[in-house]
Amino acid sequence: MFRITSYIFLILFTLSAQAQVKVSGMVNDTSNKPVAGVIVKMMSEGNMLAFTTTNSQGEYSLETKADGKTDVRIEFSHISYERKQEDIDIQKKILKLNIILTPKTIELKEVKVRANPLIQKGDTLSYDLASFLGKGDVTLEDGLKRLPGISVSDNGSISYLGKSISYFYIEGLDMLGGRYNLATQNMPAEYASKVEVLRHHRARKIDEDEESDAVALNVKLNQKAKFRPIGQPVAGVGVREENLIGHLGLSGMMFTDTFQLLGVIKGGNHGNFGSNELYDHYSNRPSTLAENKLNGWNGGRPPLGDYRYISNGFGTLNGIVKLDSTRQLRANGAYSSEYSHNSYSSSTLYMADGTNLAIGETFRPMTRTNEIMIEVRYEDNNSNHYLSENIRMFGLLQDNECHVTTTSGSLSTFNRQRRDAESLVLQNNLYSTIRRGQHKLSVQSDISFLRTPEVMMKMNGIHQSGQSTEVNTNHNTSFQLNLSKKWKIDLPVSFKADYKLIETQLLYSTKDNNGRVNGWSITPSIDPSASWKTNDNRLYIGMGIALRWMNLLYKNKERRTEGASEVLNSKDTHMSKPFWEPHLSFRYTFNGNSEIGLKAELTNSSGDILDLLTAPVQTNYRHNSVASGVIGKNKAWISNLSFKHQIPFSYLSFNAGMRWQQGKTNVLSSQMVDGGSIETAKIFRDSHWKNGSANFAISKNCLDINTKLTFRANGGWGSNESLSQGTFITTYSTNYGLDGQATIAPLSWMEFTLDGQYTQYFTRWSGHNNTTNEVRTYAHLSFFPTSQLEIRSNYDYVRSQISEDTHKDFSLLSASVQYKTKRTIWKLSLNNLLNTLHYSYTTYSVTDRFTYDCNLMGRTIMLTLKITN
Amino acid sequence: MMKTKLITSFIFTCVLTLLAQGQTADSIDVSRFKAVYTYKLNTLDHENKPITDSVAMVLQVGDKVQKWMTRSAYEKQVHAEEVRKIYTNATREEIAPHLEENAKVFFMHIPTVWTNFPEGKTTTREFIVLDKFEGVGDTRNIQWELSTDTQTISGYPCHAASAEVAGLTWNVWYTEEVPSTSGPWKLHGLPGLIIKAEDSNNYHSFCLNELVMEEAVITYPQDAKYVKTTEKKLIEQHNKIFSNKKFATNPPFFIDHSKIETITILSFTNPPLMEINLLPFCNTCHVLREIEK
Repeated sequence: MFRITSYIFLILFTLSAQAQVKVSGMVNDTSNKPVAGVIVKMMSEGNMLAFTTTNSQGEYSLETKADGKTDVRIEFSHISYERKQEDIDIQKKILKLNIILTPKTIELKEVKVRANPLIQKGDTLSYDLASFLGKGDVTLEDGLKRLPGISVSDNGSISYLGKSISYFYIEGLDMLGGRYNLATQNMPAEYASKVEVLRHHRARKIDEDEESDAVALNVKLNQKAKFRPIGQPVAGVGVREENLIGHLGLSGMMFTDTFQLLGVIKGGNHGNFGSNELYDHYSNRPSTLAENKLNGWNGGRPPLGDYRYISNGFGTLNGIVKLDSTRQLRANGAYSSEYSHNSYSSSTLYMADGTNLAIGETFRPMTRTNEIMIEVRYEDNNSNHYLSENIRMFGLLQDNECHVTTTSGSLSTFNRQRRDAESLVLQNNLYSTIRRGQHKLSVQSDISFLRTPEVMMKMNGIHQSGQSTEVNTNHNTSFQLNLSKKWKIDLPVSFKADYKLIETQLLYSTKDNNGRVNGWSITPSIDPSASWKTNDNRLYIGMGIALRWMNLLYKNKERRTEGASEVLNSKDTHMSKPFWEPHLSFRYTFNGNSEIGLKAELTNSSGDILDLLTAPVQTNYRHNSVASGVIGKNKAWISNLSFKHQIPFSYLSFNAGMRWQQGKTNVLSSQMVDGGSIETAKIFRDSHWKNGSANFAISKNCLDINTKLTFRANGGWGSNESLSQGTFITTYSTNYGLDGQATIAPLSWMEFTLDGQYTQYFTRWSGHNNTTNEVRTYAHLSFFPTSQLEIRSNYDYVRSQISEDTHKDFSLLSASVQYKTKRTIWKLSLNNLLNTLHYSYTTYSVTDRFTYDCNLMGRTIMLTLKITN
Repeated sequence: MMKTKLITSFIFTCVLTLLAQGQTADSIDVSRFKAVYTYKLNTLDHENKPITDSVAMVLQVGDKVQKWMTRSAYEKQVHAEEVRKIYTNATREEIAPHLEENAKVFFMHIPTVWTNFPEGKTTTREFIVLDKFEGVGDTRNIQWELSTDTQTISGYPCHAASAEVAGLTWNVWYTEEVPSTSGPWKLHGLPGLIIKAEDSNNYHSFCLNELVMEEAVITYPQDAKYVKTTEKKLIEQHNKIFSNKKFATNPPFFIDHSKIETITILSFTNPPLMEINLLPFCNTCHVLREIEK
């Protein structure tokens, strides 16, 4: 036994000894002095087997296993000497190799290190945009979509950790206000060096000590984008459905330390070319009473695909001047003109007298809109005083047609509808704050004038017209006392006074219904509140009770004539009622990267003057609306809980939120369907509603493989009460959605995106159940044969439930080739390659089911050239 | 106005004194090249808000010794005359950035390190509150795990490697194109210069941003005020004082008032700094992220 064991050990020892190679020696220079710090590497077939360095006597020793290795050599390298290498014979287990190195003069390469992708300083995250950009990215918006925690919606709205940004700065200046799409969609991504996310942002320096959950974005520019005018012409030509299409555009911009200018002029008949660049993310043009009551017809918007044939043109000029370190003057102007048409059909299932009534309709909406906007803003933003003065003007001219073919059973009718509207809105906002020691005094004054001289609607033989005028004023004075570093008291007093007038006229056959409501709404209020925060600002609690005294003084006149008979009604409505509205907010910051917040409030609101418009109003060829004549009163309890967490240096962000609302109103919505006609009204009866929702999102960037992963989930539940065909019903609805997205560029020549979404809706009422679900996937694949060339394809697939046992599949395929040179971007786009011409989907409204089939634009080929400088 | 002049004059005197100390320093080697790194430290400020501190560091690499110090310390050592001119002719506004750069040593707790000095040893010098310490220990034999991952950084083809060094795991990229086993801080021992290094917690990172062939003296200033100790004890003392929660919010609490010789208040810097016994100091500091245990 001992012999066998010894034999095995002997074999193992021999094998082991065979595998070991030991190389040692000395390294000297040409004057035979030892060289220390020489790197000695044993290499085989390009792989390093072992390495060491020489000691102060120039000695080294290397030992490694080199089984089966061939072409083994020893390399000697030192910063001050020529590199040297010697082949060795590994069959000799122990080798002695002395080397003499020759001195050399070396030159080191110039080092250009890319900036750190992310720097965090307090509430500011500063992203080095170039570290995140993909090869095919062109605009700033393309770059923003790559940043961790940031998402950009289809209309260009930017949000961070689920919260929409409230300010968009370029080099610290807010030139565009809410119309920041003009910058994100026209500015080349390469012009931005850094993108800063400013959390807990306070735009007013005087509010540095105020609690804020606002998020702002600041774009820092490269030197090459500053101090010189930049112009970018763009032109495109193509063919769609055998028609020639094209577009032309020019964007120009200039940025200096004290002055910024951005102008865009674009036009074409190419679908959505530049159509959302003028979108205002903060405040759209306020709509007037007559516009709200006598709406146009622009329905049939499918969630996916190009569906509107648009010919549009717009021009805008925006500038801001920094007068000194605190004062700025900003001016914005825009004019747009758009003609669009589309078509869709719908199948509506109404519950009428216990049976279902089906109506099929085919719509052909056409809209021609001309809009103008001018805004001037002056701001003095000092840490001891603040003043802003803002004047805005909006003008609107709109023609709208929507001819409808109706099918009910075997009966088919053609209905004509036409609407003309024009409106003017003027607004003035003044805001001033001064600080005296620890206390602040603010004065705010908002005045707006809204006028619609006339809305004319013709629906078959029905003529409906209306006009409205409003003057709204709101004056607010607030005194803030800082009792200590922790305690603060706010004492705002406000006075709101609005004058409103609306007149309508409905002419039908021999009937003439005129309605006129006008009067004042006067609401003084106080909102004393107190806040407390810890010295380290980790915990914040704010609470208060607003007391509002609402006074309504409205006159309602109604005249109904039919033939020779005439009925006159006149009614004065006086309401004087105090409301109290407690509110509470709480925030706890675990550290600078995690926080939890809660906001809860009780709100009271009243319906507006339109509740008193008891004269019938025809809003489309088969829909007649009658108001209750009673001012609606709504009471709601709203609470929001949110949690945000970011680990910036792992490029990970997470946010979750919950929202609960419940309320009561003193009127109940009612719907009566009679044949093909619908009458909606509000009746004087209490109704209750509740809804809750929850959502979370997680986003992670892996910079090493250029990947961004995002996962979102949301769910909601709600209940609502209404009257349908005279029957009181409670409707319950539940929905949830899941969305996972990955944009991956594992190789330098390839990038792909995969996005999968699943949504499901349930509605339940009086023993009836309805369910719809939808699966949507989006995939994009790009190849980059060279750094300038991108070959890209996009594929959308949607499977949506149309009815209980019917699903419809929908696919869209597009492809493009983009070639970038130093000064030009060429792009050949092939859209809707599968020539998919319909998109179907179903929605529910209380007891009714609406199934839409929208017509889409056909196959399109487009060649675009953009010139950059 | 008189007060302003007095303070400015005092600062000049302090700087000149520091420069004078640099001039009498002993030369221990001559550098072959100089590597400038950006050292970024992700930490928390005195209000526990996240903050990224950043400072330029210089690695002087000689045939025998490597020295690691802040760039401002390097400038005073190698370009003393130019620095003297800047300080003597500058206004407060021009001086402020230099003083703020000096103060990074305080906020980021940065030592000066000589690798392989004395031979086979590593010498570390730093001031902890108002005490000057010098710790000497064996130069670490870092067991690097070499990876086959490669990427080009700053134009240099780099290989990846990782190792656990004094309690932290470091992921580094080194280039064989610069045949030197040196690297930032106390990282060394790879068959090429370390271009980029990050610890796995993402607290500390070093990234090369300048590489210059420069023959300049590597100095080891003689200063009897440094208390000699072992490297191990110095690390223990460093971590004990700076990781105390009170240090970030109230550093003056740790001052032994009997040791104060001079104080200069520099109200024109951001944040307002002071110099106590010619050493940068502030009323608040940033939270320590231990780099070694």
